[in-house]
Amino acid sequence: MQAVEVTGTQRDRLRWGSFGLAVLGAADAVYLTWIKLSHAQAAFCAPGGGCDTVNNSPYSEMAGIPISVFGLGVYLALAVLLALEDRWEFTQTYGRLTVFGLSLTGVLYSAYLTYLELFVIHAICPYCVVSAVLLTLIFGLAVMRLVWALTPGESPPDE
Amino acid sequence: MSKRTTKRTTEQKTEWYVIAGIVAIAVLVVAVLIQAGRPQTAQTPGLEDLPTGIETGVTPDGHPYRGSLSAKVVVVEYEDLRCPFCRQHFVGAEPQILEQYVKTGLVREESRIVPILGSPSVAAAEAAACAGEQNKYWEFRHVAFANQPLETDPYGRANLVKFAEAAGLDIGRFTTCFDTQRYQGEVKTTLREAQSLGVSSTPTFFVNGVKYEGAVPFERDGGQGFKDILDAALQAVGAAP
Repeated sequence: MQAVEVTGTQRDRLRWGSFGLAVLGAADAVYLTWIKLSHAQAAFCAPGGGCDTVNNSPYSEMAGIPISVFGLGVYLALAVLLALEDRWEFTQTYGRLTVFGLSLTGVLYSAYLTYLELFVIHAICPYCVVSAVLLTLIFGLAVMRLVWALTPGESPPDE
Repeated sequence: MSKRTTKRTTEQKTEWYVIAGIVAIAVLVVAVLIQAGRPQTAQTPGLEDLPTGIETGVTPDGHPYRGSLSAKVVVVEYEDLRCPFCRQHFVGAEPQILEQYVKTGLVREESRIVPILGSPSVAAAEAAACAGEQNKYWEFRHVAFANQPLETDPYGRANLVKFAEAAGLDIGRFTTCFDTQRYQGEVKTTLREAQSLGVSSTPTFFVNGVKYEGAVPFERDGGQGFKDILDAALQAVGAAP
């Protein structure tokens, strides 16, 4: 197996790239929550179209709480973990693994929600698609960071 | 192999086990979330809260209506029994419209089912037409909306028969009608008619010919809730209460 050299700068780029995606995801989740709670018409969505149908379906809540609130929680947790990865001992040791696990959970649940949109609700909510894409990207970056950390021959200059 | 390399290999092995554990936990958490997020299945599809005391029938052009045939304001609703937003109207604005405008004879409500959400929608629309044949259209519609969507296949044949039963239909006549697709042509005609009127989503309402899309709430800050729309329409025809 060819050794992959990863510099501290590259590593930081991946981390802050993931952080940026998490912030975007949080903003998307805030907007989805606002639409749900205020019954407002989503921008770029026709009345009675995909956003409305998905956001008003019985699948859009869990125990009376909008799904987007859970999404917001995941994005905020990811953002905090990524931002403070080198600050705390716990995140220094387990930060990458936690981000990996959290984003994997998000990706799997997003895949289920996308399945619901396509085959059960038969409507697509663009803001939900954006969230699914963002989570997939965060997960992809988390995998890269994890694999590079485990790759033999890596010489992390920041350790 | 040096001691150091052996140690590193063991550490890596452990790390991969940890990752495998995380993947397993993630799968488990998602399975629990999916189970918890499933809409609760209604115990029995029922007619307990079906609005009563309202005249029902079929218009001269063959569409089910509620209210008075002589009402000067008519709300024509294009809906899909599978559409969650139509259900939103069913539980949201509709009961108040019925109570305040339809029961009082001011407004007539007409329902036209347009199956735009795939083959289960078509099946549900044909089943509703079969219910109409037994003068139970509104009962069937009520049960179908009340139980939507229970599971991934709420409008499979078995559930439609269950709904028909709950709506008080003669099941023998219903299944014959449904299985022979007696109203396939009518359902297609209604869909074509809706498309020619520019109906691209459900629910779409025409209030005395003026189009409104989406589950319009009964009252909305700044106007354009159903109450404002109906009051304005009644005013326009000189029938304001």
